[in-house]
Amino acid sequence: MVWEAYREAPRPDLRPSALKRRYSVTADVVSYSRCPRQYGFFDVRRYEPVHAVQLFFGTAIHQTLDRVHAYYRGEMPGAARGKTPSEERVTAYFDDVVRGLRARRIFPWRREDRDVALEYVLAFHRIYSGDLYPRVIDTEHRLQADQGEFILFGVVDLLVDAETATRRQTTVRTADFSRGEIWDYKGSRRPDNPHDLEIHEFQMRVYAHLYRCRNGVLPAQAVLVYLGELLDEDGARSESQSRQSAEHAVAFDNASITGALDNFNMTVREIEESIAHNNWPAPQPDLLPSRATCDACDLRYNCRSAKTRRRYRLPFR
Amino acid sequence: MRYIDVDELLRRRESAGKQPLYPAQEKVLRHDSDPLWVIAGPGTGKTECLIWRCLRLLVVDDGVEPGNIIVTTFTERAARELQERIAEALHHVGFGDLDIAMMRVGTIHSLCNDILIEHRYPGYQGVQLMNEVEQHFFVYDRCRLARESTVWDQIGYPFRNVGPYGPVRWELVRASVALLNRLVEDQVDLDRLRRSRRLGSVAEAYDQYREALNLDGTGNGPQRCDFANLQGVFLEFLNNPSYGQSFMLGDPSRGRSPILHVLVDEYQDTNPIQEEIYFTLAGPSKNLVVVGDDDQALYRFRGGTVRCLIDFPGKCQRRLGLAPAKEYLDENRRSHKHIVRWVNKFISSRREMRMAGARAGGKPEIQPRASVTGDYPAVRIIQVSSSSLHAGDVMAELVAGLDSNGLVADLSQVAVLLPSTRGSARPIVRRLRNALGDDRVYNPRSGSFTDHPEVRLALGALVTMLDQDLSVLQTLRARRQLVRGVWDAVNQFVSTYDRDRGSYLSLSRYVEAVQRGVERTPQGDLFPSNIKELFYQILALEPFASWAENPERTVRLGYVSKVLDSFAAIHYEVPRMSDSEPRISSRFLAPFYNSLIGYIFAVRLNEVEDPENLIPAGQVQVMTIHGSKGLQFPYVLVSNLDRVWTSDEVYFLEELFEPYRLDGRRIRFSRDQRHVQDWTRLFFVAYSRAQCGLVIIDDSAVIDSRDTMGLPEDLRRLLRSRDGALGEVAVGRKAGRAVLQAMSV
Repeated sequence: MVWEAYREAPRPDLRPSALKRRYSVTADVVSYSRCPRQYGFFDVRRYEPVHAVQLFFGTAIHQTLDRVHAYYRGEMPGAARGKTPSEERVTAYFDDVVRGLRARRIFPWRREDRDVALEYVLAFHRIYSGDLYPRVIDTEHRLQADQGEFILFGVVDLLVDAETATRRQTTVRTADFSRGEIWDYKGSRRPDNPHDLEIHEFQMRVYAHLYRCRNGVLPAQAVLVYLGELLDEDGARSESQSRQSAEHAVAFDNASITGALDNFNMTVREIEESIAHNNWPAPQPDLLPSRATCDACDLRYNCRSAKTRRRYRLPFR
Repeated sequence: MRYIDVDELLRRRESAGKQPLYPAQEKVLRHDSDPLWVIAGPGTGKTECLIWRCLRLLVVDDGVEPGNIIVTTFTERAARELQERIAEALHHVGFGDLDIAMMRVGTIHSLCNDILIEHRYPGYQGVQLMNEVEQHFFVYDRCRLARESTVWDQIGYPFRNVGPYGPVRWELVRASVALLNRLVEDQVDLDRLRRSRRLGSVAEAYDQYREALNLDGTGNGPQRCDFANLQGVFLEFLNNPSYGQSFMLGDPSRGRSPILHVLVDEYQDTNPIQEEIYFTLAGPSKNLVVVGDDDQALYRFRGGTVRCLIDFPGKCQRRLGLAPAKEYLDENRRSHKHIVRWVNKFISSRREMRMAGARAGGKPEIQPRASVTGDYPAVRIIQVSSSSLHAGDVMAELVAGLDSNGLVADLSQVAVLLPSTRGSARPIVRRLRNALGDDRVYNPRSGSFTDHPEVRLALGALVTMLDQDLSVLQTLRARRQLVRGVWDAVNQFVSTYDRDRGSYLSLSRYVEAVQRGVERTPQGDLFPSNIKELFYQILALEPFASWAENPERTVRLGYVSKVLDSFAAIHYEVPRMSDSEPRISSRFLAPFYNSLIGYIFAVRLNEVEDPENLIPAGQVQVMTIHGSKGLQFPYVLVSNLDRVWTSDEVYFLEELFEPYRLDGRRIRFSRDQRHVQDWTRLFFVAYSRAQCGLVIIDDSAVIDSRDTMGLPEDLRRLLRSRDGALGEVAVGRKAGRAVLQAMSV
């Protein structure tokens, strides 16, 4: 028999896969918490959505504000350090971003959504350019930590110096991590649903942990900014009232960070179990995502849990 | 204290229970600064060496921050593995809290893309980076080169498939993509090309393609870029006095670190534009470390040239004004000593490999240092010479025996490596499946994606919705406007749907309702659903609803959604109605058939592989030799030694642009010589994957054939002299020693 020649050969051991999985705070854990089924199809099984409408709002706002901060740092063509861009320029950046997103076929759901996103950006720019821009240390700040069984990573929108600017700065700050604050903008109003707010707070506590892993100290503050709250529809609010309504400082201490990490670890275990069993269930009735999430989901035609009015439709006029 | 010295680093490594580095590895670690050329044979601990080189930079060299280091790897997976192993090694030597998130580790393409975006380079703002499928659709749709044969006739291009009317459309598309990418990657001097009498039309074709891409944003419509041009834009960025300097020299006021160390893995498969990128990046610091093995260069067909590695010392001298230090990693810790002896002899057995300049200068043989030992025939060459016995039968018996007698812990420890896993592999795969069972043989690159019912049914249902009674398909055919092969492919898909629709009533009712919807939509209007919506709607119906939960079928359906997405990205997302009839217009359906279905037919899509699980457990791995690069298996079985197809196109393109390369000429050998060298390297890679057992099995007629590249000439003679149904030599045993002596030169 042809195999018998190997009776004296060594018996090879099975080598476990050396590679640890990487889990992002938002793209994995928050996304899975929102809807395991949607996460399983679009992130694990790699289905391509019809239109990445869910991406439009957040991406357009983040990319535009990122350019605005880059302008302030003097990194954009025609920019001088410490100079705030005009509203026209911010609008032009927004248009560029939307064009770029369109090239990647990320569209707004409706034309109004595009206009609302621009209003959010401009409102943020009007209210925050004076004292926040000079305090920004970094944007899209990458953080990661090895959690033993997996790598945890996240991107913080803004890393901000806690020290209030007393005069307009013409130089850009260099990093002083001992007094850094982490800021994250949300392209929405404050969530009505306590579950959604909990998810946002959870995200910031995990970022605080990552920040501590990198810098040895916790951030001075973790701030969520709900850009939708900055719009002053009646013209009756002062800037400080708008800020007050938009900002949500997330409280954290060792216990709450440990709680967030336990939650993170538990979700990662659930994701890994789902991968192992190839099972991506729709969320439980008490943990359903928002209607907007279901409305834009391509799996809604066959989802018992989806709370959408955009059910099965035949292409008739 | 942040920093330690090298001796302390090595002490900590050993205290962590790691095998000591051998002298050549240690020299790489101790190398101080300036360029370094590391030639690393198979299984010689190249990755380990790279990891510890990075560690040395991070914890020994005063002042080197993670953000000062760039490492490029061949795949994203290799990049992640490297990052994680560096983090783990840091932990072992007491620097676990050092965050390496800012270290740039990735493929050259991902790094180019990320850095251009991060630095908001104006030449890359809002650009749609096309994937490979999208580039093919784009070239099909917008590129004159892919429609007309004039240029091809002028240059005498050696097409693979030529019908009675010349090359079919997808042959032109494939060749156009190869030529356009090559032109950029080979760093062709476009001005000289434009002035050339013979190749001026090629330059014109490239200019038309660039204009269609609208990469610089001067035209209308989206700005697009392909992977080859991405590297071109990146090089332009590096050479930009403002952006490039700020990136390479750093800018402390903006928290940016300078690039102080550039390390390149798998340098043997680098192409000229990448070489230029690396030398530009390392220009200020001169700290360029390249690691590779010229004997494992496999990617000439993708534009890679082994000359980048072999000629590295001369290039360093010219570009950096310094000769690189040289290190040869030669201690093989992977394979049984007989396997090491075999690969050493094999690589130099052909005259073409012994010619000056064919291999890296001064290269020693690799030394066996693996823990795999035992007195058994670790290398066997089996000649099957009976008409009733096939190499696949012997493989099947061998694998079944290894498995049932507990000689392997899992079937995935056996790999069958072949030059191609498509047509010529079928007899072997069939026999393996018969002996072991269908689900115990994994052959993802068999080009059989569209053989699966879920793929055929989905495409069949889509076609039936969009082109009721296939009237547009027939019209296109009657007008000779249908790409060859599309008619048969569409009919296969539609017949699958026709066969199954009786069993899936909700699906057929939905399809019929869409057909009625088409009839009612006003002529000239856009149809109210795009093709991906139609796809997701049928996905909600049986049998797709159940198939979407099946682990294998769901991944294939996901891939269908991706191909539809690529089609929509380049062609049309929403079908448009005909202006004169109640049906979808041929303006939509012609590219749907010719581009989408034509592509699926022409490239014969492979199965979708899970990058997280490249070697699924419980199955024998049938792989192309290219696919096995960087992997190792306890048992490796190799066959089809004569299936050494290399398209003349690869060599033709290389020669076509040779006189116009900005960096001067590179070709040192004739086409035949390069062909022999390429195939010798290919089988060298296959043979050197084996740890415990290497079995080379083929038919006597193959072994007799002069086309057989997988065996040295003298060994073929020796095997031919053996009689019987099953001739065998075992290298390392008495006969094997004779073989090796016969091969000694």
